[in-house]
Amino acid sequence: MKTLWRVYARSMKVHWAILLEYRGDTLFYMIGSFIYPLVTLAVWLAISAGGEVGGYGQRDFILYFLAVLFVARLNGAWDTWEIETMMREGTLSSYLLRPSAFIHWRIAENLVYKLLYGVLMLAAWMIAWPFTDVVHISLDPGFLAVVIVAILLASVIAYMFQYCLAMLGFWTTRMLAIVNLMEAVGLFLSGRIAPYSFLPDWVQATQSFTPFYWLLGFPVDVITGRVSGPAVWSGLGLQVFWAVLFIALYFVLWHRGLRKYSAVGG
Amino acid sequence: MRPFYYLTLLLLLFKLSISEEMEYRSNFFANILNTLSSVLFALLTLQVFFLQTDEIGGWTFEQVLVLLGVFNALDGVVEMVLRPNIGRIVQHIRKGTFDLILMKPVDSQFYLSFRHIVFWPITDVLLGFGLIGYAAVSMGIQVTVLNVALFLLMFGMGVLTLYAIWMILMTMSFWFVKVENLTFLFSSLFETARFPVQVYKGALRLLLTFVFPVAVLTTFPAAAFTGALTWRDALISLLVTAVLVTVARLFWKTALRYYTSASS
Repeated sequence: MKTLWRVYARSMKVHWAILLEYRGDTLFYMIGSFIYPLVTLAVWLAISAGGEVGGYGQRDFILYFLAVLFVARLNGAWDTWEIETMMREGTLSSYLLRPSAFIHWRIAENLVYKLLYGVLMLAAWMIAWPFTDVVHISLDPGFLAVVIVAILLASVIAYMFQYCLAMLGFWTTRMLAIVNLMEAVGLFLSGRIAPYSFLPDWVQATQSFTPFYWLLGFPVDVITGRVSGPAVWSGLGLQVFWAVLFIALYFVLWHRGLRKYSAVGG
Repeated sequence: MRPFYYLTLLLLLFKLSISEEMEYRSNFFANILNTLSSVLFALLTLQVFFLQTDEIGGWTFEQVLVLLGVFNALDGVVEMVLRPNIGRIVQHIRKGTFDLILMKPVDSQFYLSFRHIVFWPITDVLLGFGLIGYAAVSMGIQVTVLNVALFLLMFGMGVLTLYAIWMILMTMSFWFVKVENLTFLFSSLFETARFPVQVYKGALRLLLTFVFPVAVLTTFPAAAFTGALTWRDALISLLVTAVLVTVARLFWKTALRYYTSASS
């Protein structure tokens, strides 16, 4: 445990240095990722200009998509693209020689970026607080604890899901095509387009059976207060289920995959 | 300079790309699948919006469908010509091979923009036009010569504008080395083009008409097709395109002046 702690401390220091080196790009990336939710918000604002639709007024939509922005930044994962390149160019091999598992190095990178994003967005939220009450959410400690746990679980699910997809690269060179398809499905099913209650019935029926709602829509619905009471607890339970499932899947895929992997280049 | 020379060169590069791509025929099916799934989800998304309303920013479902077709066609152009080339410039700069390109007897901007063309995303372009056709039939609009000519003119302006924006981004890679993030920023901004510019309010609409002109990219061509284009909008389209293409060219020239060779 202690060695793992040191591995993370060291890796995160390295990643932080890389982040600072490419600070311009990091900023670009952050701004870029805000645009899609804001576009969708603009459409909903145009639609709801004449009055409430489906139980959401203009202010509800704003809060909803701000929460989407917030959560989406904290559950982002970009490992498929990076790992695909590493497998193709053979640079993965040198990481395999390191004394700690490759995934720790990747998670360390992910954490560094998310810490930065988290601090920046929390600061932005606090600055906005006195100016507009759209961003006001309950400050009850119990509620905030639940929100934090839901976001953490969501980011574990999102990350491990992405990582498992990346592992498919051991078997197929078309891994990114699968990822793209998943992205398209996820965009629709995770609640980025609209609150879940706006989606067609057949989509809502699949809610518990795909990971997508649990890695974005659920924490957002908790923040906006649309999910409350016992539904929160069963939701958190389902989140734990999906997280455990993907972690287990990772172990299987990684060990099988390594046996299959033969390095190219270097 | 010599337009014919460049036209033959472009055709040659295009032929080269087709023969290159024939080696990777399975890419065609991968592309078809990709195109169909993205259109499917775009349609589902539209459906979610139109479950709650009859019009978005004054546009009916079919009109937005035309716009989606234009968006898809432009996206195809990005995948065919723009995206395959932008990544390489950074590598050229890093490895020092950029010097070799500067030595070639062609315009460096031309060469870097069109050297690598990917053929299969043409399915996106075709499907985009298919969508426009389908929307036209289901709306029952009269397709006249003037209509089509105006649409093609506006669509051409859209393509040129797209190229200019992309070129400006590409030139920025002289300073920002991780180009993936530039393309990511573009893709994100491009998402705003999925909807008519009338959706956006106030300053944002001005921004999206003149600065990052998604209005020129998709709104005006779609409006031209459905007959909703005003002369004022057409004029804006021409002006914005002219300015952006000029800016892109000047920016490239400036960047070249600041370029100092790396390694070798």
